[in-house]
Amino acid sequence: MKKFISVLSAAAMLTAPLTAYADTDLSAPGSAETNVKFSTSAGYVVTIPATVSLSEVTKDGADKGKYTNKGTITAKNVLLEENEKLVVTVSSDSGFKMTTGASATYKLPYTASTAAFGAVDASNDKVAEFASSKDVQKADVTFTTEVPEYAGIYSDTVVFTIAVQ
Amino acid sequence: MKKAFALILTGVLMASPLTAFAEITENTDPKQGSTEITTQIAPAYIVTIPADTSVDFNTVNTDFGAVKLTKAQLEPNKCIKVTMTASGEMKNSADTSKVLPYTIFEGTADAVTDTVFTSAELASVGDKTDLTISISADDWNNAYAGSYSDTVLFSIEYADAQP
Repeated sequence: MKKFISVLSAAAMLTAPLTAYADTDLSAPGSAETNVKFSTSAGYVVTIPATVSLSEVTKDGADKGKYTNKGTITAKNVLLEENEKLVVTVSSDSGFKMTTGASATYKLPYTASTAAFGAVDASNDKVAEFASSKDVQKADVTFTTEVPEYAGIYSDTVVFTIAVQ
Repeated sequence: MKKAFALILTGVLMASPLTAFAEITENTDPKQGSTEITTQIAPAYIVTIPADTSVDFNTVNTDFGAVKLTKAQLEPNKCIKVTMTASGEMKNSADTSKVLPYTIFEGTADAVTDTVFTSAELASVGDKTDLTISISADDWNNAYAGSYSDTVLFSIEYADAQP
């Protein structure tokens, strides 16, 4: 009796489905389709400089006496959906004015500009745009003061914001 | 040997620059990073002082030019202080014991003031103090014949501006 039950049990197990499978009967010649699906979310690593220190322009020209330097934004491992871009904008709570301290009344205006998008102003705050790419992508942002009226140690903080658009 | 290697490695690590950037990824929230923009502007200035000046015989007041700030990038609440040192006596070239007293006043020869110039504080480009060499008629009358000269010294100092 024990042997009979165990044989029945083995038969039951053999008829039980082991995995999910297509319900197309391929015992006869023909073809079938299987949809392969996966999803991956956007990914990127953007680096921005912690500080940008400006130096005096000593060469003769329109910018002589101003202070300037570039900060480089780097994007790597950018994985986006097709037609999407990684957009970097910049803002300054002070309105792009440097000071020597909280109590200083004189403010030194400066600009942020890029070769691709021009100067940042009220209608344009974009400084970089990166597409999906395995390559390392870079964009330079140039900061330039006006000719200062006063000596001193000036600073301001700008904020770069990253968005997928 | 291992210890020596570890020490060398530590030394290299300590000499390496610290990370000088902020990193933003898809997981950063908010997706923002800040950058400090800095610059140091050293004080710079150009002060012009009077050139050599000839005083015509018997002229009481002669323009002596001006001390003037022609270029300036100063710190707030700072100024350029110009101080003049003068003996007040021009000496005869043939006999230095013979002198011709003079005084340098503020103002131009046409509008000379009673203020004897000793110093000026210049804070902005264009700030100036006109100067006039004054020799009284009596001193002209009492002077020995000959040519007289003296040298005045202008000292320039980067100083706190007076409130």
